[in-house]
Amino acid sequence: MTTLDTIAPGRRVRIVRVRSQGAVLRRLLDFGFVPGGDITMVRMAPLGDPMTLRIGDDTVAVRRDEAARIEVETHG
Amino acid sequence: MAERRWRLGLTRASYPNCSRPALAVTETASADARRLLVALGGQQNAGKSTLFNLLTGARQHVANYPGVTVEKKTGTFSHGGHAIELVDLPGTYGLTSFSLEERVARDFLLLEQPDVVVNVADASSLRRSLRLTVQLRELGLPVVVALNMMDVAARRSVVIDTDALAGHLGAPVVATVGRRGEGGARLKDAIIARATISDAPPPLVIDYGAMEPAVTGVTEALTRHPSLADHCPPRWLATRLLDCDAEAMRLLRTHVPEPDAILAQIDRARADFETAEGVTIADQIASSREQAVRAIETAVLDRGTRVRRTWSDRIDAVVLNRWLAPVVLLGVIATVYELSIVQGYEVTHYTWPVLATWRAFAAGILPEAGFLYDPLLRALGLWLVDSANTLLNYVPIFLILFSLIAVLEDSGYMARIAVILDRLLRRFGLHGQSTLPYVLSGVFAGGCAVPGVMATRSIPDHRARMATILTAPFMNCLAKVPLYTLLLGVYFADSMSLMMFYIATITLIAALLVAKLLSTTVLSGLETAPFIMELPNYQWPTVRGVALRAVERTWVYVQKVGTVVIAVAVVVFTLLHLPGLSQTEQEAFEARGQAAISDFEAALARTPFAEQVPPQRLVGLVNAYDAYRATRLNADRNTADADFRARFPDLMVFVAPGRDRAERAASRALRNLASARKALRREMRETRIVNSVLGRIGRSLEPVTQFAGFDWKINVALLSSFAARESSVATLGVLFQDGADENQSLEQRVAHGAGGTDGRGALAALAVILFFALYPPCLATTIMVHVQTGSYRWMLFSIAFPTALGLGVASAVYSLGTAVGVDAVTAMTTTYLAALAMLVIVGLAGDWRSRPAAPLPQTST
Ligand SMILES: Nc1nc2c(ncn2[C@@H]2O[C@H](COP(=O)(O)OP(=O)(O)OP(=O)(O)O)[C@@H](O)[C@H]2O)c(=O)[nH]1
Ligand SMILES: [Mg+2]
Repeated sequence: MTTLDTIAPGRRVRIVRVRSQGAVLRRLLDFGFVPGGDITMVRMAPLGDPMTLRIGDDTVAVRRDEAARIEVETHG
Repeated sequence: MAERRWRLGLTRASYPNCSRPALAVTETASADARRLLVALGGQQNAGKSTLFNLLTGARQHVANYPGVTVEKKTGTFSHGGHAIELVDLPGTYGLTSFSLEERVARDFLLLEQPDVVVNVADASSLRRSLRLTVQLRELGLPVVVALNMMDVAARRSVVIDTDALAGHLGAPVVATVGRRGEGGARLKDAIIARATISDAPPPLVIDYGAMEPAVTGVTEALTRHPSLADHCPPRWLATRLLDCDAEAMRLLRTHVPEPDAILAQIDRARADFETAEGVTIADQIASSREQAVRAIETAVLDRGTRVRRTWSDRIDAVVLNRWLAPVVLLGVIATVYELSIVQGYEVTHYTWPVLATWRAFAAGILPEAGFLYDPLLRALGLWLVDSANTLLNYVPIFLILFSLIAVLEDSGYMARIAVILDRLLRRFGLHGQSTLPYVLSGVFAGGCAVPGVMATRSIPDHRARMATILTAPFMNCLAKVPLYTLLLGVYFADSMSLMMFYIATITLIAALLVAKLLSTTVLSGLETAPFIMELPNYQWPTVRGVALRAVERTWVYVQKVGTVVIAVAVVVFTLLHLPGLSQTEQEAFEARGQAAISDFEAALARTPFAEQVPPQRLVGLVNAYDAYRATRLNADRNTADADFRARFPDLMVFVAPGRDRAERAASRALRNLASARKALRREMRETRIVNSVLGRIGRSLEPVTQFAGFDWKINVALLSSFAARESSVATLGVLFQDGADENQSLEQRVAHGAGGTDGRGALAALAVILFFALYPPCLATTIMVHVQTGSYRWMLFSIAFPTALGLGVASAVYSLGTAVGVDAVTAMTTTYLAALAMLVIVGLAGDWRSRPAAPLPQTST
């Protein structure tokens, strides 16, 4: 399964599931990391972490550790 | 009042991090009979503080940086005959307690029962905003939606049907543009209308799809307990219980006598649902809610033609570019440093005379000095004025520094700095958002840890936040600089800039290493949080916004640091003066004073002026003479002349002798008397300090501090600098007085007193510098540490740990350095490189820490 941290900049993907729990999960949900949602990977931070994403109308930075728990599929 | 008001029986016990005392939530009286309580809630950076300012006319921190408001602020206004108390809450993305400030907001909404909750929503990011609005409405809160940032939405040609939105939410919607002050009056109308409404809309009901039977079943069971149904909407509670919300469980346990049956029912319903559907309750709730949010969004929002690449994207492409990011960041840091610290010091050359005038004024109105002894009121008064002046001297620097930092926050760049540095900082147990506290505390050679420690509140990760609080004071507080300058000027005049660079950066290295050490040891048990940070769009900072924040932060500095420093200055004064001179010492000094006076009188007797100076005029004359010399140093001769003439019009010969021999002799006699008196007073002061409580403590510490090369004088200076850093230089000034008569500078005197500028002296000076760099925060900062951690133990830790560390490092460098016989610059270079090597090793060690491996059990499709 592809995870969000492996997506190349500029790619647009759809969230399949979020393998988190507790407060982390809720935080991700508050930002719209919900199954079925679309995310565009914008760029990696200069030091390679965190990654900048576009979700809905927002630009959000997420660490790769968190991104690795978000399973995605490429648009088909 | 037909409206049913839900009472939440939550108490402080369920909110361990809530700093407010427990609230007895009572039935609310009818709204219009009393002052209305209105809360401004919403997500971070939505414009709550801007609207707060618009509604109340007050000044509230506004910045384009998520999490600027970290404590709730209250203001009042009246509208349509109603008095309204408005509370500005910190931003919350959701209603699940997450960071400290989110808890503050949530607790307020749940416990304090506001009459109206103004939900500030960001029209340019409607979907995200709605996620919170929907939760507020599910909870049945009396919401008015302020749909803010309508200008940004319009610029992106997004059109929102506010009436339709109001219909979907069961809450009035008012379009606003907070930044331009649009919509304030309509918002006030809507608030009053909502508070006095007669038929309030019921809580919002969201369709939970396949989970509906479970929700309905539990809701029905809960409705059978009226005591519970009084506290919150049963349906809301049912979803929270199904989702295993710990606080909802607690609520159930406190209000239902035998909760086991219901809990069993809930567990069964949850298990049944999850096995049947293969989806966790949490995911089902999230996706149902998300569906509802999207349905509302689709129904009310028309996207128009989309701007594909916004300005923010274009700026980010440069600012966050792998190669350009460091260049931009270093450029920004260099600019801030140049403008605030370098130019700020230039400004203080103009402001210092003002402070000097004020000191002279104070000296003028305080009781006059005696020949050898000053009235206590005078001594203490001047001591306090001097302490205050050293603090106020930094005000221009802070105004510039805090303005620039406000510009960084307001433009949106500060959030990018957090993103750029997160990876680096995280290796040391910190967080991208530790940057702002570090910057405020003085990462570029000048700052103040008090606002720095305050700014840690927005860090959502508890462990990183504690690590930041405990290490931000290592940064270069402005008041440390005078001591560095003094010692560098004496011992390292040739390598001043190299040494200054070492000092400025070794503190950062030390802070990072300590942060790592603490977060892997004493802090390791604390909870951490993911880094999920919104990057706001870039905006032009507003002059008003920047000025207000700079003034406010500087004011905090003056207020908090000022009061503590003044209070402690009294204590230090006392400790430096008690018990005073012994009887014999006193008599000896008096005899010498009398001898000086006799010399003067003998010299004067040979001139025609003897009769003009009877004994009762003598002390006044010497004081006037000293004042004359001081004024001439600071101002022009005419002022000095005029001041003197005002007091002794007939004695001008003493300060401005003509060519006449007798006049010159009289003037010389007075000069000799004045300097003899000055020398005597210095000697008395030193004897007093040697005898004093602080002096004895300093001496008793010598056995420990000798390894670092500190003698008792240095100990006294360092002890008194705990009160406030700047007093270290003042105390050293008093202690190293031999040679002051020959008009040697303090630099020369310190060098002479501390064993000369040879290698040993320089090594000792280096030890002092290192100790001072790692030294515990000043008292004002430790008080702030207590405020922010809510614990005296951490406050004591923040004092004890750096003391031990500083003494350890200083002793190691001094003892090893003396044993090996290296010169001080080499010793510093070695220490620096050793610290740097440790930093690199620790930083790289973080890398082979495994990446997240095992997937967590809770999954979904
Ligand atoms: N363009 C535009 N900018 C706005 C508007 N309202 C506020 N802002 C800007 O948005 C930024 C955030 O405003 P704040 O009032 O600090 O937001 P807040 O909700 O209090 O933020 P936190 O306290 O961090 O949760 C500031 O730069 C404001 O100047 C608006 O209607 N239009
Ligand atoms: Mg705010």
